[in-house]
Order: sequence, then structure tokens, then C-alpha cells
Amino acid sequence: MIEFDKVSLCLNNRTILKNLSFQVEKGQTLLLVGSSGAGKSTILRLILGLLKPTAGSISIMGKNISQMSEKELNEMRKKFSLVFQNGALFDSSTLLENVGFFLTENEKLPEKEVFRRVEEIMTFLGLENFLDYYPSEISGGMRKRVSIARAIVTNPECLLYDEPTAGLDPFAARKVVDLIKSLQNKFQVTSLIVTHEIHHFANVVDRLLMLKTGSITYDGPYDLSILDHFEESEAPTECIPEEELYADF
Amino acid sequence: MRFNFKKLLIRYRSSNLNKIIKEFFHWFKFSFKSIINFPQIFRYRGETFKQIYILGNQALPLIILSTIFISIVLTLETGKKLEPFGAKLMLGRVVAIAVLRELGPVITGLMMAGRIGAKIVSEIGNMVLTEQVDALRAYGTDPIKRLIVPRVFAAFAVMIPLTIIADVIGIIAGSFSAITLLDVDFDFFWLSVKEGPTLEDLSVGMIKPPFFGLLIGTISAYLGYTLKGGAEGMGGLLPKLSCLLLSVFY
Repeated sequence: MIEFDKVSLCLNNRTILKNLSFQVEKGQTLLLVGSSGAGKSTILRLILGLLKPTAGSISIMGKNISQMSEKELNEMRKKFSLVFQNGALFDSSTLLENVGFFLTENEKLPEKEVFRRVEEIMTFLGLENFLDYYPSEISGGMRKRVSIARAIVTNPECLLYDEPTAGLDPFAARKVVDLIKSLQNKFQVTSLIVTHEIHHFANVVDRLLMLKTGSITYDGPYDLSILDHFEESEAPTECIPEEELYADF
Repeated sequence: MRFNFKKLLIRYRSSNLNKIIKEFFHWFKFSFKSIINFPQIFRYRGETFKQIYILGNQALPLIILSTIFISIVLTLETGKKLEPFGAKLMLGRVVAIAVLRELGPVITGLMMAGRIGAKIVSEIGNMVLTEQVDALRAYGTDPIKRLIVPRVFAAFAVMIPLTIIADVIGIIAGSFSAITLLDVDFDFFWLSVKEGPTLEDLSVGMIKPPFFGLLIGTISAYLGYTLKGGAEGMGGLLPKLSCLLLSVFY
């Protein structure tokens, strides 16, 4: 479903990823670990085409996304959902509007249907009483769950989680992990979880991938012993990109 | 000395001039994309009307206040200078032409740049910092169409009504100043206003505002959209915006 072939990325004259190659099969749950600055979140952004690789190719469902136009990328992105590290909820909208945003925006569903689907998901997540609240009025753990609600309401084929347990207390983190597990059991979607809190996901993942300074150092089943090699990332090496990368207009 | 083109090219690539030219072309591309997507306002009509209402409402008190005071001062000073030549009765004509041709559009533009430019740049910049713009892109929504177009269009659309308000208020404030402070007869002042400005004066004054609106909208939206460097970068944006917009106006 997702294939990285010798992908390298230079940003601001620094090497972020170096000759990275891996594949994610359909229905698989992959845990991507590594210390801060190893390039984990960057991989999620590359998958969605939010960043373009400096070298190599990324194929999503057999199509090379480096050659896609922004319009084609937007169509491809609708099959994915990303749970952002800090939620990235729209702060001027209520939780109902936040979760229902993409149903209104992309699927153009009528208001009643949007409300029904949002209410169903929010009930599943235990947040049905907070539909009229604003993101600033709820806790960090709840924001994370709302972010997951926004991700699953569109029935994506692949779910990408960026540090889903970061900054949460152990109880809230447990709730989020249980939620991810129950989502897998219910929808059997392909999942890619980026985290540095490996111990939370023992019973959730099929495969583990460890990154260090932009390269893969472990690819195999879940194994806590890799924590012995879990060191701080070295300072990224300098590189001169072909062309400075700007946000795509 | 031999001319070394390669060396010159390397020096140019690392120079500030190259960065400025690159930035200018990126802004141009961004603005072009925003403007050709203006038909999207029908799709996002709710958001567009909201932005028109907010931008218009926020800038209106500032525009009214500044136009009143600038017009009073303009009338007073011009009247005093015209008095020795016995041309005080021309005051209405002079004030009306000055307000309609230059003062109205420029004061509206400057106030819009300060108030609305700052609003757009901080709003979009904050959305970039909190990854809300990335969230839109990640879910297949074009942030230019969803966020930028309604704001740029609103800045473009409110300029003409605001300029008309500024023109009217400016001439009324001028008449007040002329009648009460310079003892000009009410009827003479308004007769002079009526006979002074031509259609050309009016059209010169009305052509500029939409372009000012587009510049304010696109420059501030571009600065917010391409924000880098977190909160510090955000702090540096407003002085950058003021410098850019002021230099554009002058």
C-alpha cells in the first residue's frame, strides 16, 4: 500500500532522511520509533505529499506521488487520515464542526447526516456530551480523541498517527491506545503509528521499524530489546538541496 | 581581468537580491492562484460574507476617525493659505478633489493595511503554527481556496464601499471645518464642492482601492501562510508587513 524507495530528504541544508526504503502492506499496523529528530513525523508528511522527497520515490497504492499534481494529491489524501501530534483542531470551530468538517467539505453530506455520523463517532469515543465545546475548553487527552474522531469519521483506508500518546498522562495514554486497538478490530485499516513511547503499543502492532538519523536500523517484529539501541539522534549532516523547498501553492 | 560567469552565478545565488527576487515570485504565484480561484467564493459564501463583515466592521471606525481629523486639518491649512489670495471660496473644490482623488483611497488603504493586514497575517500565521493549515492539506482540502480566497476577496470587496464612506465623511468634516473655523458660507462651500470634482477625479479615486485591497490581502496572507520560526517568526511578521505595505502605498 505504501512503498518508500531510496527516499532522501534535505530540508534547510540538513539531511533528514537518507536512502530510506520500506513497504507497508494493506491492513498492517506498523510502529515507527526513533528518538526526537530522527525523521519520524517527516515520513508521515511525505506519505501525504505535504513534503516532496529530494531523491527516491514514494508509491501509494501503486502510484508514484512525486509525479502527482496538487489536485491528484488532494484526491489521494482523502483516502488517508492523519492524527496530528497536537490535534491541529480548528480553534474557531466547535467539536461538532471540527469532526464534521471533512464530511461537509469533501463528501458534501447534508447537515443532518453529518450530525448523525459525528454523534455516532463521538459516542463511540465517549465524547457525545462535548459536541458544542470549543477545542480550548477540553483537556489534552480529549483533544487527542477528538482528533482521532476527525480522522476516522471519513472511513479512511489508512490511518497515520503522529505521537498519539505524547504529552498524555498514563490513563489518558492507555485510553488512546485502547481506542487505536479497538479501531483496528472494528475497521481493519492500515495504520502507521509514529511514536517514541514504544512500550504503550506492545499488543497493537504487527511490525516495528526503528529510525536513527534518517536511516532504518531495525525492521522486524515488536521487540523491547531494541530499546538498548535507542539513543539520541546524532546531529544531522549538512547537505545542499537542489532547490529550496517551499510550501506548494 | 577575465569575466567569470560561474563565479558570478554562485555569488548571485547566495545574495540577498536572489532571495528577494525568489520571494517576490513566490508571492506573485501565490497571489495569482488566489485571484484565479475567486470563483470559490460561491462555494465558501458563508466564510466569505463573514470575512467581509469582519474586515469592514473592524476597519470602519478607524477609517472614519482618521478621515475626519485629516480632512479638518487639510481644510484648515488650505483655507488659511488661500485666504490672502481671496480664494477661500474655492476651498470646497480643493477639499473635494483632494479627498476624492487621493486622501479617501490612501487613508482607507493605510487603515486597512494596519488593521486588516495584521488580522489576516496573525490569523493565518497562527493556523500555520498550530498545524491547522497542514490538517486541511492532509485531508485533501486546498487551504488557498478554503482560507486565503475568502480573506483576499473580502479585502478586495470592502475597499470601494469603505472608500466611498471615507470620501463622504472627509468632505463633510471639511465643510464643518470650513464653516466653523474659517467662516466660509455653507451654501458657497457646497456649491464649490458640487462644481469642483469631475468624473475623472472620481474614477481616479475609485480605481485605486480595489488594487490596494488585493495588495493588502495577498501580501498579508502570503506572509502568514509562509510563516517560519514559531512565535519569534510571528513577532517579526508585523513589522515586515507594515514595511512592505507602506512601501507599496508610497
